[in-house]
Amino acid sequence: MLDNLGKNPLGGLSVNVATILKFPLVLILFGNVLFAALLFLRSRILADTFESSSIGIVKAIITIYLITTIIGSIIAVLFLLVG
Amino acid sequence: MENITLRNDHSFKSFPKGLKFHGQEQEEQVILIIRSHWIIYVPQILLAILVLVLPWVLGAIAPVIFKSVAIFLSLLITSLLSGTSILVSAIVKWYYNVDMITDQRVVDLDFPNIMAHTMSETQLEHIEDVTQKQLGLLGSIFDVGTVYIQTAGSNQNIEFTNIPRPRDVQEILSDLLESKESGEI
Repeated sequence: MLDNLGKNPLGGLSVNVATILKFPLVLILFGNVLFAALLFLRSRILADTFESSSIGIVKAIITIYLITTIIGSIIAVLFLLVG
Repeated sequence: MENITLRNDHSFKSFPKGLKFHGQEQEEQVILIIRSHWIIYVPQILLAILVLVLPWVLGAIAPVIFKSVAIFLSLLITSLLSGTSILVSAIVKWYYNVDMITDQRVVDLDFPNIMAHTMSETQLEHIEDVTQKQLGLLGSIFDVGTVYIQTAGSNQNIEFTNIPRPRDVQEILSDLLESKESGEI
């Protein structure tokens, strides 16, 4: 017992920060995609309620945002799997 | 009312063209459309910038993140997407948080969050009192305030929150009510 006094009891356990970071990143990416999809759907409902001359720009922004979010999230998850 | 066309901008537009809203009558004319002042969205813009620089802040705290290129790129994409989400949500909120004054009624479309939106309206003849309130230093500097429209009976009161030029809005509404009472419109 006295021989083990100088040893670290958690010597075999190593914590990798990068691994810990992966799970919250996946959650945030999933949240982003969900948010983008909900925003897209809500904007379609709101477009029936209110429409002005600049609605085309807003619709384009939301559509580009949704597509970018989906593609970006897929790429980010692939990077996480590789890393 | 003639002077309201002089200082039009994206948040305060008189006699807008190509505007339609749910329940609009065929001959109903929109006199004024008001959106929240841009100053209200400054905290969201600052938050988006903070999220965009977060990968470098995290990298400074835990340099191990920089060691794995894949993890760092993933973190970078996540922060870019999150920052964009905040900015796009601010743009959509600004666009759909809209208050309208027509020659027949006032309409208040609120889009507080992604899960809900409300549309309230009241006819001009139901309006009893119009009050405007400017609060704080920002309100005085940027001429931002809230206009409270009190209605008769059980009708819901309407608030035009954080709008630019609240005194002008109050004046326009008072002029409209006078015109309505005198039978001009």
